[in-house]
Amino acid sequence: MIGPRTFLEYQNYRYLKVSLGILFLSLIVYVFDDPPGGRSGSSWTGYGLGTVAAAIIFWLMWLGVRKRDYRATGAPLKGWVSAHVYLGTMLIFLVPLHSAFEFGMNVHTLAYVLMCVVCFSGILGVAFYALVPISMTRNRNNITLDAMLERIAEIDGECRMAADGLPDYYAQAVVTSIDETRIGGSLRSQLSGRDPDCGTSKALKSLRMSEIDLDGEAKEQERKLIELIARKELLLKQIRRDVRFKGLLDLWLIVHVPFAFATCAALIVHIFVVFWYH
Amino acid sequence: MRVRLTEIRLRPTGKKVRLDRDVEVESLFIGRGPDNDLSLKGLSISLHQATLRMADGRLYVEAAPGQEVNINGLVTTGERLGTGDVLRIGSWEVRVLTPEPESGADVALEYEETDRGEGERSALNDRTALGLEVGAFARRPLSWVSIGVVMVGFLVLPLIWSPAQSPWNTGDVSRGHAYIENDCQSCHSGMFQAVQNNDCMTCHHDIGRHSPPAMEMAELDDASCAGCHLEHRGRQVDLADLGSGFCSDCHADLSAEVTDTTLRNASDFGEDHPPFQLALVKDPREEAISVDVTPDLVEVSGLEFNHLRHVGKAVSGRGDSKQHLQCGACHQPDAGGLYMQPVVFEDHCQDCHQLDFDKTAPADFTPHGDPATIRSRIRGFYSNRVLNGDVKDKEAPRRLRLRRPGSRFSAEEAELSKRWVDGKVAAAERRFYERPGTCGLCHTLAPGAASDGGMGIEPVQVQDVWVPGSVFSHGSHAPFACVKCHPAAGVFDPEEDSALPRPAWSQPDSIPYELIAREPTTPVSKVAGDILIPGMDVCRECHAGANVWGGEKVPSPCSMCHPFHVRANGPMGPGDTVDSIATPIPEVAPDEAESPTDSAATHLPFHPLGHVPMDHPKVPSTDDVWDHASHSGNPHTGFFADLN
Repeated sequence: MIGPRTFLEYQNYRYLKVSLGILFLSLIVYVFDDPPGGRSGSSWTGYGLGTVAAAIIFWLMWLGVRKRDYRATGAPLKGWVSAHVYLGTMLIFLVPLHSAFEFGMNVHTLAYVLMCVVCFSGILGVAFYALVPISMTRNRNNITLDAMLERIAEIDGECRMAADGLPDYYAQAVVTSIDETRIGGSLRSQLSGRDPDCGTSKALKSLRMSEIDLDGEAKEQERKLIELIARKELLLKQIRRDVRFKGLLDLWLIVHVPFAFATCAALIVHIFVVFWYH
Repeated sequence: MRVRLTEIRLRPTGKKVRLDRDVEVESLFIGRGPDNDLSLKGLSISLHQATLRMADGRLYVEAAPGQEVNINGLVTTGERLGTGDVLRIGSWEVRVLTPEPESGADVALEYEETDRGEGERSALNDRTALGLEVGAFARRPLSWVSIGVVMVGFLVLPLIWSPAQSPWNTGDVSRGHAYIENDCQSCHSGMFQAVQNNDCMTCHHDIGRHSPPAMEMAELDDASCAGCHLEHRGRQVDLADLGSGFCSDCHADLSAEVTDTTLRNASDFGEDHPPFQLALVKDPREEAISVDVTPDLVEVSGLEFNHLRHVGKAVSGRGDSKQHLQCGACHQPDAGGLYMQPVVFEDHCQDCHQLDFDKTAPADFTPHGDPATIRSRIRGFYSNRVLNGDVKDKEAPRRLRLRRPGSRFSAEEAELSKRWVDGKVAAAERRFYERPGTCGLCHTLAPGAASDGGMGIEPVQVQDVWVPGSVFSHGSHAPFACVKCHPAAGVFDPEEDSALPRPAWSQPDSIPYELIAREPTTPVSKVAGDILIPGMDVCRECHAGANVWGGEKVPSPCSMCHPFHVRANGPMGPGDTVDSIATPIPEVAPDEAESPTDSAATHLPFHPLGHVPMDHPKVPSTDDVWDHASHSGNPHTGFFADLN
């Protein structure tokens, strides 16, 4: 995993400077432009800024191709990502200059709104990549997700054995703990990082509320069982946090990519309509 | 009873082995607990699940209290068992066999764990679902869907069903074009080309050029309409408002750019504007000349008039009581509220200044106009009296007085009649020309100048649009009294006759400013030559330049008074592409201009979608008012058109 610092600080913020330069130049042109009838997207300045913005958008889309092309030469992928982030963020400010801050309920503003969704989901993605991996590493505590799952399976087996000689109430709790514990699942349960209907929590609760009087070896078995289920519950919390972190790292991209394509489609419609009826 | 229990075990090698053991019991207990005769592993099994026992040589199964057993797939609490029956307990199958005689057993049971599962890990994996992208909820399908939704909803659908094109509209069109907002092709006639001047001029067919025809300024006169007038910017945006710099770009230093112009440089009304130039008549026989406003200007219209005599004092018409005249008694704005209509003798003067000519016929008076015509009318009046036998004048010859109507004239009578009529006409003329207060009150008499060689009057030319280089609206200044801008014309002497009510305009509370009282320093107009048109300083009391920030003055762009398009200069656009409208439109009556057979309407541009634009009404342009002077003409030339 690449930490955001590596691409944000790429070449001493080269692409941040490039983006701010483009934006500053555009602002100068916009402020000093006084076309007949006032500033608008259909002035020469408007056309110029629009062309620049459209070119940047199509170039940003090309990252999807570039990142899969492992034989590519030229600038390293890190540089591409750096430029991608800064140029994309700059578009949020460049496009309103193109339209002279005219917005409305139309396909033209739709293209801008979609683009903003893409930009902000991208910014969110950068933020996630800056913050989530730290929490994720801390949460995992040098154990992989697979090892955690393996440990759950072991606990399940130990629970079965521990419950063997215990009354049905305990056996039922173990069955609940095993059969009704689900990891992941729906988008919501993955991103929430918890399961209010977790079988293990229910089992632990019912075991602690047990009013059955046991003695001798059975008492020892019960204590062991409760300890196992409690450990399982802790492990499950850790796993679910991990699933949540992984989900956060994936989620923004599920928004980012489809909306990027939607933006391109709306941009093509925008250009088509503007030149059809210009 | 003696029971043979056979367990079938699966070796790790995959081979099954049978393990027999015999038990001698009263009843056979089955359950998870180790104290059972048949102890089966599995947490879903009760510690004591069921009991088998013999009765009358028959085998029965009974579920433990609160438990159930599954026999051959049927769930029950107890049942008789026979050979071949299968009990399912947890993951175990317990089959009832026929006991082999040599074993000595009463009952033979075979049991086997059938559903062993694949271990805890694989079971956990079954209950684990990781990853956000499931099925259609993944980047690739979602991308295709989003592309499809946008393309179909905003491109394909609008192309095949035009009502769906409304999201294409970049913004509301201006107010004047609201009625064709949904009819895109009215303006966008060609696909993938900018709005053409022809599209605009379908309706605005007579929009005028900016510069006079002699002055070639292609960059202005042939420019694209849409290049300056940007549409789709909201209902409130004025298409004609092109910003403050639009005019001053050229006019701030016009003399440097255009050598053969008489226009002076101007860039801002408040800061940089030459003094007003008036169209001043210095000789009523010649056209008005353009002069700067200076205090010593004198108009020579050929008329005499005294504003003080008419407005400042109470006057009375014939039979009327004395009253103060208002400015509006003679000066009425035109229907558009821009300029004042010409003062007409019949409407505004005749009430007091009647042209009667015979004491015996006070109700008969001549029209106002050419003296030759007046003479002819008077002659006709007296000739009719002779013909009708209606001569009552005691000084007339007796034969004329006694003459019967319709009888033939003798030569002597004809001579008498002619002499009498000539005498009466001469008397009437003396009454007009020699008595003070009649024709000579306003006009300069010119003996022998009339068309019949008799007494005539000097030519008259009254200017009704004094500042033809601009458009002024009296209507939009209506809240202010006339004397605000024309103080010398609207004078009132409150001491003149205190018994009479003051005119409304002179009431201090009736107007939103302090009335300029009559003071010794206030000039009072007593002669027609006075120039009563206010200078630029009067306008600047309220109007500032376009770029003024704050303050209490009206920001006034150039276009407030100076329209860009001047119809008198001919229509806009290059002549070769605007074929139907390239020739200047002749002056036509308004009802003819509305005709749907107008040439502009028959030259509709080709339309690829087969759409035919509506017959849009002709939109009047601001420069219609520009031609005010040429339309109205000199009122003193057409007064008698309907009298003869």
